[in-house]
Amino acid sequence: MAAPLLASSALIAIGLLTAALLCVRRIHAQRLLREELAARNRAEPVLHALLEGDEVEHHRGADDAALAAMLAELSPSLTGETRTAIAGYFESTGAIGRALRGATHPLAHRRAESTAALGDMCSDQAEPALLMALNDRDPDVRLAATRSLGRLRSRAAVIPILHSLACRHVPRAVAANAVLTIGVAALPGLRTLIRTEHPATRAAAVELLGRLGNPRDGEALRDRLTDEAPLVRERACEALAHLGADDVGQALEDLLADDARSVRAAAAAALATVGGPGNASRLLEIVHDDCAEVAEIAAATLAAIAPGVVSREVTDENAHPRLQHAASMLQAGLA
Amino acid sequence: MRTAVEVVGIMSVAYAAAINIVYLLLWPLARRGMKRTVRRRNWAWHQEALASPLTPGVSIVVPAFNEEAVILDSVASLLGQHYPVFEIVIVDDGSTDATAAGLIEEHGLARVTPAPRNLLQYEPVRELYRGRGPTDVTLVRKENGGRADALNAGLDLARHPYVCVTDADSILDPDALTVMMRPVQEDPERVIAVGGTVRVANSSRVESGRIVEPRMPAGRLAGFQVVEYLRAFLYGRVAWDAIGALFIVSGAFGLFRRDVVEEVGGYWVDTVGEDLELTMRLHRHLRDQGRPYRITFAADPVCWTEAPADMPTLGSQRRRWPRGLWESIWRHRSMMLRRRYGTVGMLALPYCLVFEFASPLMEAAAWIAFPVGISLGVIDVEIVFAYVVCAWLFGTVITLIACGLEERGYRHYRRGRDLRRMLVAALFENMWFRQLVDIYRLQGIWDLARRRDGWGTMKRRGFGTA
Repeated sequence: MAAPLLASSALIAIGLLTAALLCVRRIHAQRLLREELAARNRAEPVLHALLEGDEVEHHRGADDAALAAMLAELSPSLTGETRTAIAGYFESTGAIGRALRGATHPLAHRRAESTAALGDMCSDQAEPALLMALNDRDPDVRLAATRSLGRLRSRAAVIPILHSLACRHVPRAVAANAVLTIGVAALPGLRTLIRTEHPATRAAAVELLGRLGNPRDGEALRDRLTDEAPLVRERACEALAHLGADDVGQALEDLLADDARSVRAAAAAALATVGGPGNASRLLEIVHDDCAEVAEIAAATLAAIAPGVVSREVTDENAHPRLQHAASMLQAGLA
Repeated sequence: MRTAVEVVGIMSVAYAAAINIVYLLLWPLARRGMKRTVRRRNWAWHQEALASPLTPGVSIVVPAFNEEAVILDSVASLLGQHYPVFEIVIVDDGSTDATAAGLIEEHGLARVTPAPRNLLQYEPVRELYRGRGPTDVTLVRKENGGRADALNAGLDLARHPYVCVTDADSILDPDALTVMMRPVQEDPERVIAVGGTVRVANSSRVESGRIVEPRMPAGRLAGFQVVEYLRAFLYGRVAWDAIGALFIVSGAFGLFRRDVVEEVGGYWVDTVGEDLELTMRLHRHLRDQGRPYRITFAADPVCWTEAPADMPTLGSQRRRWPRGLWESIWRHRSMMLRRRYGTVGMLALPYCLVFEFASPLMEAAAWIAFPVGISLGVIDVEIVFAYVVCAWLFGTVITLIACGLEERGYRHYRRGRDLRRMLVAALFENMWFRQLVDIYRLQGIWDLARRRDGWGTMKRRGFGTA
């Protein structure tokens, strides 16, 4: 009987201890929250002074941390001299140096935290360390580095980020957003990479060139419509649609017969933007495509570029259900 | 007789010890998983995901049957999602109330001709409505065929590559979809399904389809379900996910890659546990094909649901669960203890059978054997007392740990009185709520043996009630 009694007593003790711990943690957390709010209130005038370019004296302790957190929240949306002021502030407080040391910490989560913080501090001093972090063994560190390089608008990072994207070392959305944040400064790198050997890198570059480029890039992108890699052809269709390129209707129409269904779907979708009534007859055939998704897109495109053709076709009782759907969408003003 | 009672008594004690050991083994996994989740929030990249034009689209599919009381709140909550590209597909599964009429009027939906892909099987679609405004709302009206059937229809008419399934009595946090998609965006090649956390919304403050202040329910029954859900999701699912053995993506809140679900034929309509069955089937299919994949759990995205607040509704729900569990286990029994199915076949399925399905049977056997054993003088009354106390205390400690995970990771219940209520619920959940649930589960097993099926009814009170 001694053993069960002992076990019961131990369990009661553990239970009570856990419950007490929860209450203590809650009290502590609420105190921290109150202190943080007060520190933020104290830091607010300093923040405004800093953003207006005034000299700011160096704060210590909680206020310093609160100010840094507030600056970090604002930094992605700021440009020009304000960013320089923010970088100057963080350099003077030694925060950059601490974050750079943190970026080489043996623990991955510490490295990731520091790498993410470096992006919010707006200082170019962080660029070499962040470029190194793109090759870190931990995915969170690579992700944080990509995001930070984007926030620093680092031109040197365009090619490494696209390589990381192609190798799936960083999420597509994050890498793409970083390059898009870098903006037109990324264009030279993208223009070089659309002809690189690695298909996935080519595809990523084509996709982003479509978002960032100008009509002059249309010619180079059109060449990618005949790329040997289906992924590149697919992305080229999307890119040309985004650029609103002229005279690509026929080239896209040719891709409606592509072996890869993703390419057929992308071509059909692109025709909705850059196609015209001349592409209607081929699209009408694609409405019967074996792949339901391709057929669906073709019907929607047809409704967008040749509504008259859709209306005419559905007068036939045996018209394809997708055409009937497209016609009803037109009628409801939803196409 | 004496020997039989003795054997049952010993087996019960051994079973209780085994289940406690399993829970103990899951603890470090849950702790590590939650710690990682909390840490990763420091460099969460929601802004990037929202701003990126390359974030994939998601179709939110909501099956609805006679949900006029909650459907508008639910859709309002879904429309408030902070996600760049999504559509909402409501599947009215032959409702006899004003579910569809309310939606058509509220969102100005226009009737269009349906053009289903017919990649999945489901009862015929009668009408299709699409939104005119900037909100992408689709309403599918079909013949009644049950929840799984409605989900298949929704999947077949969804337009985006990922599908998030949820219930009409649920409210998603505004960031839920963004956070849910994070594992997908990080590993789009392999992640085919993501489960999210489901929590009890009863008594919480709801404004414009959003939970603005989570509160502990005023009613005891719903209060116990709060801690029960915490244990199931923050403790259980996080731990199973850590070893790649997540065996269920909850039907109340789950995300799937549409093409893979289509490939396996969608939801199985002849079960009441369609979410568990689909998850098992996805594991099986991809393992059979030797394709790399991940079915994972994200603890951060939260779906708030209305938990049964009265005994008949709770009973109807809990009687269904063992049936669904058994149907899935039986259908995929060939995965059991087979190494090719990895941790799912070697650990998760045996766990489901031995500790999830059989536990009410074992408890019932113990409750019969102990009094009989005491009256025959085979079992010492002190041993029984110690067993009951230890089982209760251990269960309480596990539930308290789950509450600790909530407190460490989220601190959703801000008010001191809610924390008190949560602790009280954790202390007493194992005292009578678990036994009550076991009775319902036994009834469910009895229904299964008599081949009685059906979903039963779920009485809705609307959000903000006990």
